[in-house]
Amino acid sequence: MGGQTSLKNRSRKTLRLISGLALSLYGLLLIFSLMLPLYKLSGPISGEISLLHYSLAIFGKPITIDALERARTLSAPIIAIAIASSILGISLIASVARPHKGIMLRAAFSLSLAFPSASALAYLSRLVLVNYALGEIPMDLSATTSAGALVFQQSQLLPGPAALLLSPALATIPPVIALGISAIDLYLEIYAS
Amino acid sequence: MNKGEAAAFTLILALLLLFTIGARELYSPISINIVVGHSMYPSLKQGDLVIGASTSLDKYKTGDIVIYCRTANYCIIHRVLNMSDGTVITKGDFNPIPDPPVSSNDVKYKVILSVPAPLWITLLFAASALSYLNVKNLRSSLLSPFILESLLYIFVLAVLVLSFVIAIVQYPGRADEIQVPGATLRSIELSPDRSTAIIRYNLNDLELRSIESCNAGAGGITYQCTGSLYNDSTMLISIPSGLYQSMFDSGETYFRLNLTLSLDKCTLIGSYPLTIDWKPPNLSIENSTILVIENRNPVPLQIINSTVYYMNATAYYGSPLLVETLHIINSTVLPPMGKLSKSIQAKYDYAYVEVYYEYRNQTVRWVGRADFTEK
Repeated sequence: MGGQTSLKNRSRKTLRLISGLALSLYGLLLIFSLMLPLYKLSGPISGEISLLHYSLAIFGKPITIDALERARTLSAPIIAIAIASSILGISLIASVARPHKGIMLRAAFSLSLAFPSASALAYLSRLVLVNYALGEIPMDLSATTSAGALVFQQSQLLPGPAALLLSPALATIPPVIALGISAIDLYLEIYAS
Repeated sequence: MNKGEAAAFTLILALLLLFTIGARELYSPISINIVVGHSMYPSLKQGDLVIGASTSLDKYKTGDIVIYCRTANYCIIHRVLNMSDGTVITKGDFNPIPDPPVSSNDVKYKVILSVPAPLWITLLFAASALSYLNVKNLRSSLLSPFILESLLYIFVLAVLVLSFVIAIVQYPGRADEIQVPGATLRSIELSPDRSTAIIRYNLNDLELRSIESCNAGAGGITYQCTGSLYNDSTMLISIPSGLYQSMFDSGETYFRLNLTLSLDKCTLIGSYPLTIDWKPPNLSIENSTILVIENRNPVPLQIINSTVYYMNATAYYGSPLLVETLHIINSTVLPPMGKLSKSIQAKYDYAYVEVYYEYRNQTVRWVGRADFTEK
């Protein structure tokens, strides 16, 4: 009997560790997705675009893009969720070694319920707002006026690391995995014990 | 709800009514409003909660944001632009023009505090959620199964939805105004002596640096040209004399100036049409003693010769008689736009001055008369 309890405890600890890791990694993934540059621009229009922050300048003069301002507003609660997820994940990992209260697991589970929505919102922000903003930014400033043809160097748009992180696959699979693991962990910890 | 709670609820409701709807018509020390529209963007955004203090308690000045009502359900929250003679002119920060003047008596409140929509809506939402729970046993209520999970999830979801709504509602959705450097042609003209084309530009955030290439062409013939920067926005281009000569010979009146200019941020490729009026030379005798030949074209003028025929009015039985012939000009070239003055010696009664010159591959004869006798 004692051996069975020990095995059960070890399994739960392992599951909590996995749950903590999943939450932490998901939180980090979301933080990187929001903070790392989605696109980098060079040339007459230069700067970086991430969901949480953007800095664009035309010949060194800063410019504001309405759609990117909206993306920034949308990203604020998502980054809060990401930070909360990371903190909860680390707390869960730390709680493996010592006795803990079930409230942390319950909070982790309820937070993880919002992960698919947060990831979807982040991905949609990129899809709708950032793509719209890219359409607004004139990559080629060349124009023909009464003075003649003004030929500017073309701006270059390069995808940044967050472009990979905010893909459909990474926006759907990790939140579902994190949600699933925390749900199983909570079920075993509270309702099945 | 017991009696005390009901009384408190009624009092809060009455104060809210007074500070919101009542404050528009009745006197109230404070007024609570919610911003609708984008006229004060970015100072105040749609949905922000604005608290105003009565102007009888807190005087306002230019630059303050004030509240006045046109009707009971239409109030304006704008910034004071100017105050004079009992009238106040206000303007929304995002509006292009000021509002019509309003009487200073109508300005009832001065804005003393604005609470961003995300903050006050979140606080209101949290207060509503907490009021739903049993306050006396808040901790156990919160921790009871399913309640914590539900509340936390609903809270996170509500914040996400709220931020989504704010992202849509709080921005005016204006077209992004990206100031792109640009250049337009202000004027192009030839100098009075036609030797130089003066090109003036309207430059927006651009500076002229140098000329990369310059050519001028007419009738399929192209000539290289040179130029210089006169000031930040003006170029001076020297028109090659060979171009004018070939145009003059062929009778062309139109040529094109093709320029490639280097600017600080871009290259400007311009092609500008220019016309020229070929005019025959102007010949005259001034004060009966000076022959003046004026070349009005930017090409040299070939004078073949000029002869003065002195006449005596009544020398031959009352008829005029040629008395003396004098060559005053032999073959000479008058430079472009040049002027030649030649004195005519006053002798006898009068003289005919004859000038032969080349114009458009033709020899042209001009005759003028100089009278030496006083009438």
